[in-house]
Amino acid sequence: MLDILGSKNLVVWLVLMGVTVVSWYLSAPTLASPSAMTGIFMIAMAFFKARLVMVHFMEIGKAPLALKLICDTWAVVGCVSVAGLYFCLE
Amino acid sequence: MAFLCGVGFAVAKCIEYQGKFDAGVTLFHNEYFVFYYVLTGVHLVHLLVGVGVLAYGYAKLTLRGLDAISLQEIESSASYWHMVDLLWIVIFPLLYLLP
Repeated sequence: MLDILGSKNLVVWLVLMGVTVVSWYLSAPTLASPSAMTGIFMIAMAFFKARLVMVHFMEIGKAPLALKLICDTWAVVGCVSVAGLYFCLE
Repeated sequence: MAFLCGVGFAVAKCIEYQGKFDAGVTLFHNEYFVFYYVLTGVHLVHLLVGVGVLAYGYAKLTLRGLDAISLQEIESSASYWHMVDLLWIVIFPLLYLLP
């Protein structure tokens, strides 16, 4: 029987792998011409994964509120600025 | 396990760099590759530090066993390693996947 902590880590890891596979598939050159929205979706997925790692593996989910807010702000600001720059350059 | 993955990644990165250098794609080949080499290079340096830290933690744990300070060092090392991984999670799509 899997202990709760081990199985939760496994679930999070599987989600990370699944999202990575989706991003990888979207980057395939054989796909129909990708739009800027594909790129923005991939950037959003990257920061979603980053936040997942922060919350579960770096234990920010159990951290004081201030640290949680700082990390979430980093994820949001990072995502918006990278996606914004990507959109402007496309 | 993390140590082995880190070493494997570093080896793969060296092979990748060598392939690019052989094809004549160096640091100032074009603007994209300036970013590519700086981002992946700085990440690689952090990774090598992380690999060293993991090796130190493993060696200390094996030779001296676990105590309060060792636990703190291992937790900090694990956090650092997750940070390096987190950076790669953002860098990889940015450089390799984005259309």
